[in-house]
Amino acid sequence: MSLGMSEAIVFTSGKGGVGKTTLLANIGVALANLGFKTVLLDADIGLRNLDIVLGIENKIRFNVVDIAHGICTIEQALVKDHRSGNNLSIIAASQSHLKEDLSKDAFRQIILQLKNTFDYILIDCPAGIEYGFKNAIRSADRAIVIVNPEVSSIRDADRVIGILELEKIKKIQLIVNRYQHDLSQKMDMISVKDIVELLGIKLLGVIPEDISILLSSNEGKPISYHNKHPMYQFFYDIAKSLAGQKDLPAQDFAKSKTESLWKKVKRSFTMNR
Amino acid sequence: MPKSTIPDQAVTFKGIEQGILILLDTTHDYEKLIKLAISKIKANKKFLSENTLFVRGAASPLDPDELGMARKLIRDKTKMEVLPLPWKNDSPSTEQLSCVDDSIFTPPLLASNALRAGQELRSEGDVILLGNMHPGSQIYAKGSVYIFGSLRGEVYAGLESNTKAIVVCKGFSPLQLTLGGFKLPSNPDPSWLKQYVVVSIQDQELKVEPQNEFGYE
Repeated sequence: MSLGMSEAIVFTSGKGGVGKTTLLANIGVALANLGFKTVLLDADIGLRNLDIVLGIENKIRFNVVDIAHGICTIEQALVKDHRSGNNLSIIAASQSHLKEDLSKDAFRQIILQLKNTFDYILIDCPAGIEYGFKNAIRSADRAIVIVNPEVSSIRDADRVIGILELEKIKKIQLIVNRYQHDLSQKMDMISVKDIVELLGIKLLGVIPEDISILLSSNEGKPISYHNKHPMYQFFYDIAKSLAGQKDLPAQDFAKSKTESLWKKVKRSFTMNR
Repeated sequence: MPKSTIPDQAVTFKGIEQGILILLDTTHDYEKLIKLAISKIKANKKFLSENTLFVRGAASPLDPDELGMARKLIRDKTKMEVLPLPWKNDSPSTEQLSCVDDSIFTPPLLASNALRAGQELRSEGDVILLGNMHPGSQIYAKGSVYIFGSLRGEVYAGLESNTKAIVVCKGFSPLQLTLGGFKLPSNPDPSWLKQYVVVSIQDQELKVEPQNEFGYE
């Protein structure tokens, strides 16, 4: 399935450890399973993680810096994840280089070439706002900002959004990750509504805190491959929303508090403003 | 390296049209300088109390912190008020207005988007922000600051001791705020986030005045 127009989407956050890589992997798998040709590109040079989360580290022969330096072609660096049929590929980051070893022109060229083949290019952006981040965002058509419901993550996300706006990235959307509804109800955690209000960008989705996401990352098998898992639907809803498929009804996440776990996690809180 | 004592002439008095100007030679240790100024004011209190007192750096301008410190210590120890005299000339009647004149005749800086963390605005005059000011952002203005949104960042308004400057916003919860050299003394009241607020200097004090509540959802 192809939309006829390829899109490069950067996943960024400012703060590290908020769940960018895990979310990107799960949403990438979901997009591929929906029929879109998807490539996941790890731009975190020197701190490679995406291949670990996907359980393919033993299949990596070449990386994005090798492509940039002409050591290999893009095709040689692509690793197919056959669990998604032929739709999902990964390009790993280099473990041994520094971010400055990948020039912005080379990175832009790689993205342009990938656009010839793939519907979606999901770019895993390094934490921070320095060279690696700027390289990653400059080639993006859309940015997804990942935030945890806590003050320092929100502050860093705001900083990042300011930079994205200056770079004239028109589509900037938000995912709140590791949300705990019960804590929010008790006012021990900032609410999704307040986060959206503070950051002033559109909400794409909310992912609740769930230990199984961590466990699946450690196993190298993203939740999006477990179609009976309660958390599965959250990632598919976001993927469908990204792909502009039928608008999901906005559901009040608050209503799920007294319902069973199964019903609770089936509701996703997607707001279209 | 500060000397153990400072020369008497590090603090001098000069008669000017509107009063007495205290000149501070800031090449010396500043705390010792203020102590010397206080002792000289006390020694001549009877004469000085009949005049309006001003203070200024002798060879270079006092920065806002230095000026604030000098005024507070002199006020506390001598019960006498000293007014700032900006650097430019010796005519206080025009100079006292010059900070306000500057902000009147300098066009305001207008920004039309939210001011996000890490961003700052600087103006020789006023600042008008048509959006929210997020935590982690900063505004520096010699004049007033008007925010058509919530104020949650750091605002330094009325720089160079412009005590006629004001701050106005729709929702007040600054990380830091200084106006005309006066610092917000305590944490803001959470209810101010739902009100229009005007901040001004009145009777040598920084006053925060909530106005009407607005519909804040």
